[in-house]
Amino acid sequence: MADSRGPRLFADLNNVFKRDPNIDEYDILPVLEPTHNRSPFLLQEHKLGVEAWAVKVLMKYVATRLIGWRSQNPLVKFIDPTEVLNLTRALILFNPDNYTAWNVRKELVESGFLNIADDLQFGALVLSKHPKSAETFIHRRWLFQQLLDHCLSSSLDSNGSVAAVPENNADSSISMDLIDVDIVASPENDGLLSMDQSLECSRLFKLHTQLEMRVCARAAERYQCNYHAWSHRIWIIQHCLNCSLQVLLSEMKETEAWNSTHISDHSGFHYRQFLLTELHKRQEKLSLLSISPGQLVHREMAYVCDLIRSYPGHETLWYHRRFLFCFMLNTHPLDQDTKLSCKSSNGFSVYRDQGEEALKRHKTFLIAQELESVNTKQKLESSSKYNHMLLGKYVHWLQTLLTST
Amino acid sequence: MKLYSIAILLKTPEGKGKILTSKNELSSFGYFQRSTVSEFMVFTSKILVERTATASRASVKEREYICHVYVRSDNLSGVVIADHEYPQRVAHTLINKVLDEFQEKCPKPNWSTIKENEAPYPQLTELLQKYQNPKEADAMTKIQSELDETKIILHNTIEAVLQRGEKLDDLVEKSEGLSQQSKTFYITKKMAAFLLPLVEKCSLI
Repeated sequence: MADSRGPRLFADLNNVFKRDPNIDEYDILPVLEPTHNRSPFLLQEHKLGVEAWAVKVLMKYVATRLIGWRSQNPLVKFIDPTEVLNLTRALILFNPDNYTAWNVRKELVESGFLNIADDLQFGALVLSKHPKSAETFIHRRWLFQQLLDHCLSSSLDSNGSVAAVPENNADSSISMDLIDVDIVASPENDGLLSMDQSLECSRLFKLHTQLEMRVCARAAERYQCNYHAWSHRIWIIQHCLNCSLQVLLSEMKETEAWNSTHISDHSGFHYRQFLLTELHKRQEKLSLLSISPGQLVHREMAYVCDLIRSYPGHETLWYHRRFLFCFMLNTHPLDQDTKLSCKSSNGFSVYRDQGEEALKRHKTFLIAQELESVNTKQKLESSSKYNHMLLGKYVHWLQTLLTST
Repeated sequence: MKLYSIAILLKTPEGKGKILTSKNELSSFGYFQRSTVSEFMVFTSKILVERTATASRASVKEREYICHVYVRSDNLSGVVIADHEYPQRVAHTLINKVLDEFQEKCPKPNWSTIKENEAPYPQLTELLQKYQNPKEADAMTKIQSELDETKIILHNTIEAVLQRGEKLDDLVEKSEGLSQQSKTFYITKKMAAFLLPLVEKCSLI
């Protein structure tokens, strides 16, 4: 019986997607046995519901066909790409970690049969139901790499000197919406047609990068501590936005509100730690905007202390505080000064010894200061036993730091 | 940090919970799960009010949710359903505030005659939105000190609130407020209350 229902369900599903190509969410409905003669696919406001019994039957059929096709006939590839594409879609929707299916889709993209934008849209749909599917994020990174290559090669066609450009352009605006990740160079191009092409390409790239941030945010919202979503976001910042200063700053701003309402989401706080570290690497450029990295870290420290006070009993916040304190210890301006004085002086070793001594004294001072502020301010406020324990752990950590310096 | 639902109920002389008005914020749930979740929120609110003694407070954990309940000495009751991040004291302060405001809009003599879920209190929607971020809603420090000293009883599951011999499964089965779809959800997954949607994982192939 299952055999005869499979092909019909598959055809049904394909029709649903034909009827509404803009489905943006799907789910399995708790209907265990077919209760009526209608289709088990329910379409409402671009949302697709699939009755549970149908998923089982459909998956069996689709998996057997796709895997059979792939293992038996390596010579007759792409004999009917549309059909293959539909098979992978049905399979991935209900089992997003099937990387054979994703790989088939990669081949279809490479052969030009599947549009990158369409595949990105499909991935976003999968994430609506499976927000922490690692395979889905990995596939998206591959797609972005394709987009990047595409952009680079098309702008290479129109202009020889591309290499230096992304860095410049990426730093030219403030808000996330305005960020220019143009890979196209100067306007003095010869071939108008190819220039249009590369302009179009970079416009698309920009659009997709912005959409991608939203996809990440949505996945992070749907699943707490969504490591995959946040590390994907980091990857996008690094590889598609060149870690540009404006992006980093606007991301700091953007995630602040999110983090204050997701106080036990460690992945979310780790993202801010990444941003701070990257910003610190670019301190020369930062100083042009008259922002010092120390200022940013101090602001962040005040922010996390405020959260700890308001929401006692969340370990994530204490760990963020540890990170920030370490960051302050290791990147203090004094650090820079002493290094500089070491380099310029002739009595090399003497000065360095003095510098190290001063640095050590300074660190000890900072730790003592932090210890005092924790002990006096927060002991009074920590009401719950658990929060008291967390505070105790932090104090203990500070003390070990003190003995090791 | 999420605030899913605020409900105002009356504990009737027969010990039943009657919903006077309630509002949900279910955008974080899947489109097809919302009706089930909302039914279970009503179901849970009623059970809690029915099982909580007059003039007492409780917070009941149930997987990734915490339900905060307060039955006042005049039997007007409030239930707030939130996640674990949401501060307990804020939730209880919110119940106080909501009940006081509600009484102003809809005085005591009307409570017993109002039809289920039809009490006028349109401001509830706004409060539900505002309190999604407690820091923005109110000065947190004020909240910490404001709450009266009624002890909050903690329970680790809804089962713990039930009376001897009662089973959640039976209550679900008998409930008139739950649709067949919601009951199937509950029975098939063998999980308590409205919690399945989040934990649900498709284990096919």
